[in-house]
Amino acid sequence: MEFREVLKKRSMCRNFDGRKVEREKLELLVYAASRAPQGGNEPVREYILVDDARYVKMLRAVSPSFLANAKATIVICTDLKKAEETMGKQGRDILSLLDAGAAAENIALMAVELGLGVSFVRSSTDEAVKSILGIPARYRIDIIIGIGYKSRNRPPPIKGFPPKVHHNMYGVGWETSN
Amino acid sequence: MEDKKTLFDVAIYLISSARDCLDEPAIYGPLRLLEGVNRVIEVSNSNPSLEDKFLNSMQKKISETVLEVMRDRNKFKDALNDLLLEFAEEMKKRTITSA
Ligand SMILES: Cc1cc2nc3c(=O)[nH]c(=O)nc-3n(C[C@H](O)[C@H](O)[C@H](O)COP(=O)(O)O)c2cc1C
Repeated sequence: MEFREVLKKRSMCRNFDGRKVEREKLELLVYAASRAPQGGNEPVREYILVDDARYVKMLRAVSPSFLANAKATIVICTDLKKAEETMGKQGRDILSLLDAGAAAENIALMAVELGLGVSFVRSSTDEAVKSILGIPARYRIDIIIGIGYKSRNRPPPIKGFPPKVHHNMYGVGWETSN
Repeated sequence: MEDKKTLFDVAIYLISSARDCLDEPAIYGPLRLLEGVNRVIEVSNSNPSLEDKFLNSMQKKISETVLEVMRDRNKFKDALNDLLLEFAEEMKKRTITSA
């Protein structure tokens, strides 16, 4: 698939069918995430692959904005202690979060190629998520990604909006060439 | 097939929502409450002793209202007003006939 087509097709899916996500596909999603850049090039980002339906159900139960009936989940988290030790406060609070976002987007793009749908989830119930998955206290839950095969009768994606682009100086509009 | 929904499922959803609402935009509050109602209806649907035809008939409408919040806030408000009206009328019917 052309990369532009991948970009066009990427959107959040909150309605999955009953098919399980194959292990190889989950591994490819993690591979995609691992190809994202990392500020300071420090290995502070980690992934928890959840494909046991009981755990997915519990994650949904404590994440009110986890609307999708996902079959599997990837939880991206950051070792905050390691991040601060190696990259300081900026690394802990900003770089590592940007990293997680880049990794999540790589997952969303790879999902298009694999014929999967994904749904990003951010809740403030991290303590519950950590308890369910046994994640040590020093980690921050950056994002939870629900994964599955898109249901055929899901509602159309919510419309997007054009990017705000400035040319050289803030406030000077960029004239598009087409 | 989805599991049978229990009151415990609703309770943990509401507690998680309460925690989430502290940090989330205020507009998510009504959204979580509506979804809470949805889940109450799911419990009623999966337990014959709690069956409620009116609630059951409202489920689709509630789900549609929930989706509206992402699209248009004014329409969301209108949809909530409509929903409230239907519930108020149903309450009147139940209260008057059972008196
Ligand atoms: C950091 C981040 C957090 C998000 N959290 C949630 C969430 O908790 N629940 C949800 O349903 N969608 C969530 N989304 C998805 C956005 O709502 C979605 O990307 C946006 O509506 C645009 O739609 P599209 O991605 O389909 O183009 C999140 C997206 C991002 C980038």
